[in-house]
Amino acid sequence: MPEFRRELVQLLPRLRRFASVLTRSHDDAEDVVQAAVERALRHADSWREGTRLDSWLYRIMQNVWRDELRAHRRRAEPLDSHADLAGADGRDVTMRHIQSNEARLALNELPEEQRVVVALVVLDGMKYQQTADILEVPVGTVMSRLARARARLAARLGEGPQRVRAAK
Amino acid sequence: MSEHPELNDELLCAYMDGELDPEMRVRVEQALLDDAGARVRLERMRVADERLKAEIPLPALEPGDPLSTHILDGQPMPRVSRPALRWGAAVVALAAGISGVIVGFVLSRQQEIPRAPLVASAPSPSLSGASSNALLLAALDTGESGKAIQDGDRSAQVILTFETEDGRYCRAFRAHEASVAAEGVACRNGAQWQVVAWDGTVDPHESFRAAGASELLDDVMDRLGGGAALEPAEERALIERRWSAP
Repeated sequence: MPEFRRELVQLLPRLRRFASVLTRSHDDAEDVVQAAVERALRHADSWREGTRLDSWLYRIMQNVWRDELRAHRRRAEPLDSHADLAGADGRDVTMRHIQSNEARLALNELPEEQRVVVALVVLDGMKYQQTADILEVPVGTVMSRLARARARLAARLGEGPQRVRAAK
Repeated sequence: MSEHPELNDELLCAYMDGELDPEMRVRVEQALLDDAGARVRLERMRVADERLKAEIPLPALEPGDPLSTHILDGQPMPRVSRPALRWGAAVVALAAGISGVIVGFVLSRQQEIPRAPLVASAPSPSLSGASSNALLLAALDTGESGKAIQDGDRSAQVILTFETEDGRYCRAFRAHEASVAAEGVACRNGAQWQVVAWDGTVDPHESFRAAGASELLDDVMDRLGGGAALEPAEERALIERRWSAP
């Protein structure tokens, strides 16, 4: 159990990034991670040693989020909107901030099923088969979702950062 | 060598991600030499990938991260400072007593929801009276999760349904009456609903309940030995069977 807990802590950064993509909200992401960790600790006995803990946690997080959406019949709205980018008067916006939000916004605009695949394959570097196992879909579905997502992201981000000049 | 494969986006993605066997990889690379359009698409996808990776990095794990401490030392779970979580502790306290003294009350068509709060520190909920009782009963008996039942300025809505370890069915609910709101968990006990957790400090204007509720319900479900929320079809079947076991 101590080893299980240590591995769980090591996974936290990845879980948080995945949750932020899944929920599109910093607060919801933290809640989902906490709830998933609670479930994992509670059901630690059901995790089979030798199998991937990260895959198990990703599945739990998706279940937590699905329960949440079902319970409240809602869709989380992206936290970062264009209005958020400008800051108080638009003059304190750094190029990096804008670029960062541009990528996040582009990702947030994708449907959840595509965002999740991008999070697992592109950001987390998972293989297609592992991604398919986590999502419980065929590999072909992973491939088609990924291709559609990348096509849209490429159209938005593929020519490099937009040249943005902060207002004076 | 066979003719070039069609360089669609799926194949280009698989090439980028190292998912192709060596032979197909070579074939794709040769096809790319003759397909400028595919090269541009591939390059744009690569640029987009790199931007995503660079701009959505792994968050750092700060020393003393409360969640890490909770995992390693069993310290209390950090509370996210969001309104959605504010009644969690109250319900957890209630739920903790479920196995012993019944902290809830039985809802029946002859009884009213008591005015006195079940949580001593909580303000008295004014959800009371036979009409509120009937509305809540109706929601628990026949309401589908997420669909509110309304009667004038009163409403009751089931948030989700789950089954406890010992086979009881429980429902988390939310009720409004004029300027007050309450949330709780009720479990089926024979032909009645028994409220096992209740909080009357809910902000009635907060229509948006975020994921904090999941944590809360997790806590309650943990103590009840509950599993995941039932699927809509399962829930509908139970409603049709009047909450009797299959």
